[in-house]
Amino acid sequence: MDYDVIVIGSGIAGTLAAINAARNKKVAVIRKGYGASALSSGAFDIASKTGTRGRPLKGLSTLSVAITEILENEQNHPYSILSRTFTGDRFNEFIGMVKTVGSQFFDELKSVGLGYEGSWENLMIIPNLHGTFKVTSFCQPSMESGNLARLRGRKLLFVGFDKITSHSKTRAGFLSRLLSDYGFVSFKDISYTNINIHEHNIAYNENDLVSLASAMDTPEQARYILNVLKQSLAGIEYEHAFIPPIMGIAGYNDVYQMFVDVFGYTVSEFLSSSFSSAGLRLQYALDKLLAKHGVTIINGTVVCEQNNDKIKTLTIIKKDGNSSQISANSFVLATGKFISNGIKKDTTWKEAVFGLPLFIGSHVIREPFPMNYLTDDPFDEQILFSMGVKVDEYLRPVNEDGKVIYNNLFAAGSILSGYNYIYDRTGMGTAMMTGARAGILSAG
Amino acid sequence: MKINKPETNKLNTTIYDVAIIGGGINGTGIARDCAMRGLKVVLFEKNDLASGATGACTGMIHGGARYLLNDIHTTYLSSLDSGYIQKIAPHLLFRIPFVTPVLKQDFMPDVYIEFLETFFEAYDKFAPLKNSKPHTRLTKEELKAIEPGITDDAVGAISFDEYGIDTFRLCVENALSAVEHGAQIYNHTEVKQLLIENNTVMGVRVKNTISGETSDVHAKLVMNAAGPWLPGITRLAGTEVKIRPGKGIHLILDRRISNVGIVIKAIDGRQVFMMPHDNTFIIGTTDDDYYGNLDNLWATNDEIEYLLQAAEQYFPRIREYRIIRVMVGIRPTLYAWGKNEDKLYREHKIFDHEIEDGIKGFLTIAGGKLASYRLMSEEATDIICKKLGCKTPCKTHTEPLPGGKFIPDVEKLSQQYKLDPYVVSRIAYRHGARTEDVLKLTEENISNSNIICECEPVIEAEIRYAIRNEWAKTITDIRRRTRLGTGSCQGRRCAMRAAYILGEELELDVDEIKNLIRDFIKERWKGKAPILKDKQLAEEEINLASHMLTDSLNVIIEK
Repeated sequence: MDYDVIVIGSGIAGTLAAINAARNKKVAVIRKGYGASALSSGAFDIASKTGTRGRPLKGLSTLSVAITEILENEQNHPYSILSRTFTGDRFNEFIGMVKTVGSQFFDELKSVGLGYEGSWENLMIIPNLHGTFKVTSFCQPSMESGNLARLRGRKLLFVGFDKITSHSKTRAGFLSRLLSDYGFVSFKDISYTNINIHEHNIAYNENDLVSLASAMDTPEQARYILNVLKQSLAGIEYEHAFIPPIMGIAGYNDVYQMFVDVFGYTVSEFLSSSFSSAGLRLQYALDKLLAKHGVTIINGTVVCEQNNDKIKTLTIIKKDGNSSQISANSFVLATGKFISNGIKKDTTWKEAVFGLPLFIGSHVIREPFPMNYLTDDPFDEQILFSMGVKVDEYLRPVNEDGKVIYNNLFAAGSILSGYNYIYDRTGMGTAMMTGARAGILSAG
Repeated sequence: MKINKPETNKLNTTIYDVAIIGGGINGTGIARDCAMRGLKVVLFEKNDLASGATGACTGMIHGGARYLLNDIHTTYLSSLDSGYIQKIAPHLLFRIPFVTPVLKQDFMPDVYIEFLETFFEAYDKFAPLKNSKPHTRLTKEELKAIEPGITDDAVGAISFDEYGIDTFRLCVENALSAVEHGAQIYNHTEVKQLLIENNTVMGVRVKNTISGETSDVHAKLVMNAAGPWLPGITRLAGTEVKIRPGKGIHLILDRRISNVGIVIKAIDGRQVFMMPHDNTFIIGTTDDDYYGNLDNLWATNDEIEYLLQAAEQYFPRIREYRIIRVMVGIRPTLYAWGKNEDKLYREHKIFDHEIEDGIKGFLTIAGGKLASYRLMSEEATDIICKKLGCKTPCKTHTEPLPGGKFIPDVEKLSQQYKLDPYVVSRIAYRHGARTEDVLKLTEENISNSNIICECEPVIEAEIRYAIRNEWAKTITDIRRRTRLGTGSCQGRRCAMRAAYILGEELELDVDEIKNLIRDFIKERWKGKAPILKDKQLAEEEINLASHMLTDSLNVIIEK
């Protein structure tokens, strides 16, 4: 055997599986590139099914309430599946496990230079670059410091950059009204300013915030930009300022510290969706974690020929077209859903590596046409995005009859069916919980 | 809110010569012609300019090759008009060389290619009228060299030459020209009632669909150019003009996948086009009788599969490419019983209801095709002028559209306004002679040079220009005028940015801005949902995660 455990995919689920298995086993991760974690906002949603259709938002419910609701009502949700192995008070035991696994993981991330802050009970409200907000559980410290729930009544300043992402009265006013509409918080004043940064001598691509964040990785450039910001904000009256997410990628820890030294905790970053600096910081930290735990990273696409009840070898096709065989005792499938091609669709739907059957709820997908799984209103929950493999309580993929397909294959993260992270906001939580569990199970 | 606020008083007190219903290519074409002949014109469109059949068509200004066999005069007139349109809108037209491949499985391919060549030899006679190159006969090897993606089953091909156009811009340019000649244009304004006295249509009662405001507008003549919606308008006059609505869909790919247009045959022998268009690629169209809701069109699995199967015969790897959208429209074809959809002529007819059924002051234009819009508008305007005693001749074939007056120097302008030459060249394509008017807005505020839609790309100045000068009131209106949100992400990042700009320009409140965003996302969804697969499905997972998870757009509050 080349390895004890092979993990396919290196997002949150794959990384957690790999580092958990690597405590006592020889582990390799095979990946063809970065997936959904790198494209995410970098925030960690654990559970907050608030405010969607039929469940109007009345205020922020707490995390434990949200998880309990899932365990009570959604039998196919990976949270419910995992909780089935508990024999006592499965609600409290499971919530306890979420906190333990999550805290350990955040400690791991911190050990490689990426902090995460938040609460296992109260949700936070973080403003984003698009003029709205996100409700979530954990964020990088430069964003968590901008938790609007704690900034009630302050005088806020939104900072934009000319020619990249600029603010306007309408945009600032939009968020202000939205927040008071939602009954969260009200602010007596949100003002905005736009800073001219493009005429300074900074190496970045116009209209590309991520490249400006990368430029900050160079200490010299970071000091320079910090100085421009300091001068521009000097004459403005504010209590808390939000800037676009530019505090470095690889050098985030140092850049953030520089900001704290200059501004204290009165300057936060806006959250943003893909391609976000925060998502790239996360992916960068995941790579460091894999290295720290001695996990081998192999780049290539995986194919697997028909096996009986046990998988022995995989074929890896490298970018240059060369292929090689690799063997292991057990395997973790953490390939993600559509973003990372864990599921492919040409004339039919296919789980990309092993050709496992795909489920929506307890039904196997046969119809190739997407409209069978979509409604005509995109604001409804779209069950197409809950498509994935179905697993038993040991995370082993099963067929339509509930039989385990391969004894040594475990699945984790968004390749799983039974939940819809876009609507139930359990994406990162599910990836962490199933990833860690798949890692432990695969290591036997 | 500033939407359509101006001139309501004027609407109530003026007696117009012509009130036109419908802002498609017929409506705006007639508005321009009538206004240029000195008539007082007002036009009402219930949705937006080019939002119906015009916006959903293939976008070709062709010479009418298909009429060559039985109606050579139509081919002559179509080719002549294609030449005119090139002169009045040089910035908007782009040449599309086509190949008609002959496959070895075609019936008697050796004879078929001879027939095609003879056919296009005859069509060559009209080529000079529309500045087209004469046909060539291509061997299998030559065809493969031009179009490497084509099937090995091709035994040869005949080439010919046509032109494509941005139909949205063509409508807007006609409307702008009409306004330069004194016309008034109202989009998002629906005709609810015809004002009728003594069997004479005296005007229309209109309702602004955004503000809800109603006005009575008096006109000597009412021209019904409502396209597929025209039977609804004639019913308001208590009469009936029948059409045979034909549904057509197009698949839109994310990039240009061939060098030239390809004429292909579908399973039922119908002709279908595959062609590069702007920075995308179009496959279409279908043609099926339609009995459903005209205001809520969805493509079906069968229609999509029909086109893919046809394309696959000629371009075997077509399914590996990325479809970003399906576009659906309804043709207002003239009524006929007992004919297959595809055998229906693309003829047009102007109904004078005084002659047809004794209702005075009311005309209806039905049928037709984009390529001969100018000619149809001229014919309709001639009838209108005759009725109103106006003797001014038509000049729409010689006087350029507002953007067609000269072609700007892109390089010079991009240096002058410190903008990427590609950004300026896209504005120059859409605005022609008016390019500098758009660019001048960047001097007003530095943020007006921000790129709002990165796919196209579209800068803030062009969006503000469309709102201020071209009647854009929704994000979809902006999309039609600027191609914002038409790239592979279908507006993920630009929709909200555009909404805030609309909010500023039109002084909208938060709820109105929220609705603009929701409406746009819903409208894009119609075109995306039916075709989701592979990369576009991945894109859609990112889209939904961004909109719902990061932006919380689906969060509902209990009030």
